[in-house]
Amino acid sequence: MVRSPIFRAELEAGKLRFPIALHTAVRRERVRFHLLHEKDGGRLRREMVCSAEDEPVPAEERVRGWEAREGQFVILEREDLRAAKAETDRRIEIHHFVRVEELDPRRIARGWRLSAGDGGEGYAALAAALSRARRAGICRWAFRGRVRRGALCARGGRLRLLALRHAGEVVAVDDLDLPETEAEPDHLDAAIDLIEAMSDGFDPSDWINERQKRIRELVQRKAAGEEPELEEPEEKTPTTAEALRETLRESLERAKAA
Amino acid sequence: MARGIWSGTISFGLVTIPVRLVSALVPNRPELTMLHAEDAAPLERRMICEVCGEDVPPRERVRGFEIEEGRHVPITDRELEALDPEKSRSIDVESFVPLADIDPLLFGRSWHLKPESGGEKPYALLAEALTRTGRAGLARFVLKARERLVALWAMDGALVLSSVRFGDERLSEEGLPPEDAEPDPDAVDDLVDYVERATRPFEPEALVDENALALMRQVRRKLEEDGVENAPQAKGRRKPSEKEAKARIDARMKRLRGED
Repeated sequence: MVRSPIFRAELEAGKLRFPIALHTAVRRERVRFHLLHEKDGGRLRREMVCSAEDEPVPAEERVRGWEAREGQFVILEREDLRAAKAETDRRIEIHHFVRVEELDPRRIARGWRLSAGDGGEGYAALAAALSRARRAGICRWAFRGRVRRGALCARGGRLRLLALRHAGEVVAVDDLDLPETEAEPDHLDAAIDLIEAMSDGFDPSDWINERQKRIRELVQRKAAGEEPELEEPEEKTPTTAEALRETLRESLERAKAA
Repeated sequence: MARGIWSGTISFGLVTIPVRLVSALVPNRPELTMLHAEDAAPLERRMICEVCGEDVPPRERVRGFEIEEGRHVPITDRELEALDPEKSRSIDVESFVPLADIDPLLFGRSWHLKPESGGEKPYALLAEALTRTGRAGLARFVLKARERLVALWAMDGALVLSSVRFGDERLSEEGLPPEDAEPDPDAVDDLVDYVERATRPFEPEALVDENALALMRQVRRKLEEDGVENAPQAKGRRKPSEKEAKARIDARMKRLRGED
């Protein structure tokens, strides 16, 4: 079952207007560890210590500072931080649309599923239109003290909101200074054939995190006094430019046989 | 230039390419320092051992799994790595899928890959082949002792790695209204027209972080009210004038707006 909504809002696109609710889309599944002192097995606790007095400082004696110059701060108290928080904004207005392929995965910070807060006619029509036109609506909303900028997208008749990374947060590919190398046409044909031969549809249920289970097994073995074997990883030898053609050919044969 | 987070190899089929991982993201939030209210001294984070009371440096720390209250089984990074020795050294593509098939809700953070010496040719080849086919390679990869599902895709000649949530981390949409709603075809036609007319090129630089700007405005107000405080480390040093401090705040706000 879907999780209960975390936020309700009113969506506006052109003449269309309908209520929606946001639902969490993913949860984190992870084995939790504590940190220990290796020598004596003591558990570690985080302590914030004053750099001048070398004494632990309790939470109520802490403030934040913006460093105007080295060691010189503008002080922000708790209520200052609160004053800087955004007011909740339940009107999500779509100002314009972009092509979905322009929102590359690097730009997506997180996302929520949307449900209709009414009969769903407007919801279903907008989801169908966005899917058909392959567009996403650019919008803004605010809850839990934070303004989000993002995109309204559709998939399989469902709407979702994606929060996007802020201006200047995604590194431009040009700044990577990649070497200027061109792929040779016959290599490219072989590589595309190999990719096709190794291709499949994406089904998330094929991709389950098995490591969590294995970590728990490791813990149990160690708790029973077993010492696990430490296997050394094998270093792979990079394929040289000269061997590329032959390696692609061999890979393709194997992929076809598989 | 961004420093390397990890280096190793990527493999598809029998082709192995030496690469280095660098972050594709640079946080643009104003940096705040935690201070002691009394004397404006910056606070330092210590990890104190509850047995010996010492501040424990990172190389003497170990992860512990709590099997019952107060009883831990220590697990070293080496042991975690040895669970899947290859996966921490190499990103092996298990299969390729259309990049557009991956639900954007599942994407986490991203890294850029750079070729290491000798890997330039196969790197450029894979990037070009992925761009032409619109595919992404899927692999399981262990970074910092944590396994992630990653999608390897390409843009503008660069290989990009984006983490994808595992299938069991996805919450179902079962029971999400409206279920089986049939949209009115005329309404959809009209909306498609409207959506196409209102389409503009995507401008990532317009996505200004309003939260950070509000915070900097508050810093500016506080500067006017209370001025600047010297930490004990800066005792006796001349304080910046209000004008100087304001100039720095304004420069930071300009950077947040993407105007420099």
